[in-house]
Amino acid sequence: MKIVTARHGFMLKSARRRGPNRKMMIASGMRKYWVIFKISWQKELEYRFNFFLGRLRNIIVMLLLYYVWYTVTKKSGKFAGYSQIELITYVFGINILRAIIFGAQSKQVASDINDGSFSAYLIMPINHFTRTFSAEFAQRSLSLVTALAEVILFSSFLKVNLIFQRDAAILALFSLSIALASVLYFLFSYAMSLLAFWSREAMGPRFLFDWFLEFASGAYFPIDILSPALASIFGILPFASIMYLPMQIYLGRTGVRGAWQGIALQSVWIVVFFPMVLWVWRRGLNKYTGEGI
Amino acid sequence: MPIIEVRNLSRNYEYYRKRPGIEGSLRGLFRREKLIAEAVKDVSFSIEEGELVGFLGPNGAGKTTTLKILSGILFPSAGDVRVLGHIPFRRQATYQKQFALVMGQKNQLWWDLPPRESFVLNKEIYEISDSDFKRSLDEFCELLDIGGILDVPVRKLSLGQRMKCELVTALIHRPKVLFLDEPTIGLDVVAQKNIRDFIKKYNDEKKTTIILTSHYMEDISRLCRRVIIIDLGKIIYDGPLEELVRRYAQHKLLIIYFSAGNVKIQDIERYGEVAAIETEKAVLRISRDRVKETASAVLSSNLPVDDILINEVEIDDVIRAIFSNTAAPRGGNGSLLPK
Amino acid sequence: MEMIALIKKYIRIWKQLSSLAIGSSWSNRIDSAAYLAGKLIRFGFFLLLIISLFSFTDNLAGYSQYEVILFFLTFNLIDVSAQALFRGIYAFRADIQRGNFDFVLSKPVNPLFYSLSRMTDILDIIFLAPIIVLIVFVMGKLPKPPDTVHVFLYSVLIVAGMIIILGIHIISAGVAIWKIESENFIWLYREAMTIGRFPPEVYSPTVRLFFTFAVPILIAVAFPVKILLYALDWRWMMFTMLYAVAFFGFSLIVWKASLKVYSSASS
Repeated sequence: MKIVTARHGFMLKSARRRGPNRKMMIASGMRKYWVIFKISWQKELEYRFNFFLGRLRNIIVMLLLYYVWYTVTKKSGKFAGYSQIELITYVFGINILRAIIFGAQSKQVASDINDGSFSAYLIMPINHFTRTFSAEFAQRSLSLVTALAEVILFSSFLKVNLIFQRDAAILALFSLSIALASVLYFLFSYAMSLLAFWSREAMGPRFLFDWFLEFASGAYFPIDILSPALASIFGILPFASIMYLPMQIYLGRTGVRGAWQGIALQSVWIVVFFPMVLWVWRRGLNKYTGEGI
Repeated sequence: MPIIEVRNLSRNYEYYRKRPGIEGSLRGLFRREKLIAEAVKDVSFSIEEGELVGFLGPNGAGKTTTLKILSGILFPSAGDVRVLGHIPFRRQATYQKQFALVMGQKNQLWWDLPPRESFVLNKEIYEISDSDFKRSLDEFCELLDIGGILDVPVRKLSLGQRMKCELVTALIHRPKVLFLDEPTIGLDVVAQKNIRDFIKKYNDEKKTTIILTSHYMEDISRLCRRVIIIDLGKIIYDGPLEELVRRYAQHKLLIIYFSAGNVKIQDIERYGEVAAIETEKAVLRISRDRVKETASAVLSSNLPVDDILINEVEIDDVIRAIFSNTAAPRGGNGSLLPK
Repeated sequence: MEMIALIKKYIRIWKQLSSLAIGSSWSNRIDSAAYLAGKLIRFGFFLLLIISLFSFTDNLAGYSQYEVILFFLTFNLIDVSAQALFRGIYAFRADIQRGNFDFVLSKPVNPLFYSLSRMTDILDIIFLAPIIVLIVFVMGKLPKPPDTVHVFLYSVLIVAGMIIILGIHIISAGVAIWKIESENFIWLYREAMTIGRFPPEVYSPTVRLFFTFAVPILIAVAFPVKILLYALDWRWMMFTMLYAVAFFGFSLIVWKASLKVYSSASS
């Protein structure tokens, strides 16, 4: 993580004075992340069986939930304050959001730490956080393309109508909430992976975290179908703003004001957790490299 | 009656080629190029009871493939294989109970648990009686000095200790035939010696038939009287080690570094066989008894010598020498001709 | 006589393998505990979902609340048992990649049995206890409480279900050998299994058909419940048992073929 110290700030300023050179430096610095992006993209396609099955897995969950909601709304067309179309849009929308917000690269960090290949990053002139993010970006781009294809395919196959949000303000806020949700998820996921600095046993806690998140984020069902007590508890936890909030904004159920409130909450959580993750990173790095012992 | 009999063994396998770049990956998603490699080509040999034979060859030569076929793990593509009268790939329990396979750097011991637990597992699998088991275990504890580590989790043991325990796991059922694939790889010098001494003793006492593959000259020279050299899937030498040593490892290498680049090959040739020459370096192959005097001759000559080294010929170099064109002339099928 | 000796040998091997697996779990207790916690959370949340659904309706695809919960619990009974006993398959692909499967092949033990039984999960076995207790409890709350005969038939079909699930695991093992890149195949089964959490009538007829016959999940986890609810006639029951046997036989054929492929491919 780069903390812009006074010294650093000075360096940036003098770089600016050097004119075109600064652009080249940034360009060559950025290029390595582009290469990582390309390699990660290729890696995904290399294990093609793996990749296809990964997608199939998402489709099955999507279908399961589609059928459950379809069944409960069959008679009256609504359920728990949602219309049938809203619920189904929720399910399909989540599938797309998963591709954007949930990523797997951050999990790789844990195994890298545990098998020692993490050391390579300490020697290379590369920022681990950014590197992870670039690789993540590649994987997510690929997933997004396929997620969109899946939604289109299945909604036409099952002959469902989905809600298409047209309100520009809502859409803008939706996009903003997605961006914030991605950052929030990445923070949590990255932090969980960093636990590997302290323990060989990283897979179990990861599993626990992933499943808790599936429900607490609203990926399986909208938080507000729970009893009011539970719904309010989960509502304020940061996890709900990862999936539930963006979908609610998209469906127009929050309105503009509610959307801003949600986004504010997301921002608060990011501001709260960011320094924590940084702290965990530093402590973990110390432990890994044996400093401060 | 040979214990191990291999006749005209061949083994092919298929693999895919990947094209580079993003375009290659996308294309590879739907159609890939299939290629065929011949790992073992028409190999024949037989081994008698109690022999300790070394399998040598560069990486990818086909040594491990041959061992796997003898263990019944791989099918041959063609040819006839018999060990102890059994056909290995039938994987009959009667055959499996009589042989053992040890692969260096691959462990069959359970990582988190003491070696003793893995021994007991093998005891059940190989149907060893309690008394036989105890007797064997005691014997191995003494021979390999592992009494103290029997109850220490494997992940806490050093590589050398782990290898010892791997050997015990393999030998606890007293196999008649033992396949050792690089057993000393990655071990330090002391550990290598321990393993080596143990294998020799075991072979002497129990007359177990052993096939050993290794990259280390020491392993081969100390243990094997006979070596089989495989390269590119074919046997290019099958005979006594002495013969091989006599021809190739009776030399040492004299490496001369020059301070000037104008040394001509004629100036050096008179000191001995030139194995390699570059602008500022020359490598001579000199017989062991003459290397010191040659070195002093070179140093006291008017050649612009900057540095001089005397090196052993490694088994890898022996093999490389065998395989390179500057070495012994070869027969039609690549086998070594007698000088 | 020889059969009995062989069975005894495999029981002893299974006992030692389980003891090693338990030992391994204990040395990785944080991991093991976290996995169990994760499974409990997943179980709990699904139960919560069902209960929440029924606060807005009294009927899901024609079933009442306790009936739906019974479907869910039966699914868990079979799924967790399979996880407990056949967990070795999850480590199988890694074993093959590392070359450890070669050792297994060179030993006088059935490689399939060994690979399946390698990682018996003691925590999952413990997890079964509350599930069984809940099943008994829910049985009492059903609108038409089942008689002893039907409980017996339910158990028989549960066994049939386990055999089918075992078959699925065996096929996964076979595929793991065939396609080295197939990390996700067993996970595909895990994800597909998830549809068994809800009664089959939730799904469209085509989906139901597919997951009953092509990928036999519903037949394994839903049919036992149906017979308990007096909703399955004896002909379907017979069919299920025959299907279990046939499917299991098929999985063994796949395994044998894969073993052949392995022994024809170099590592």
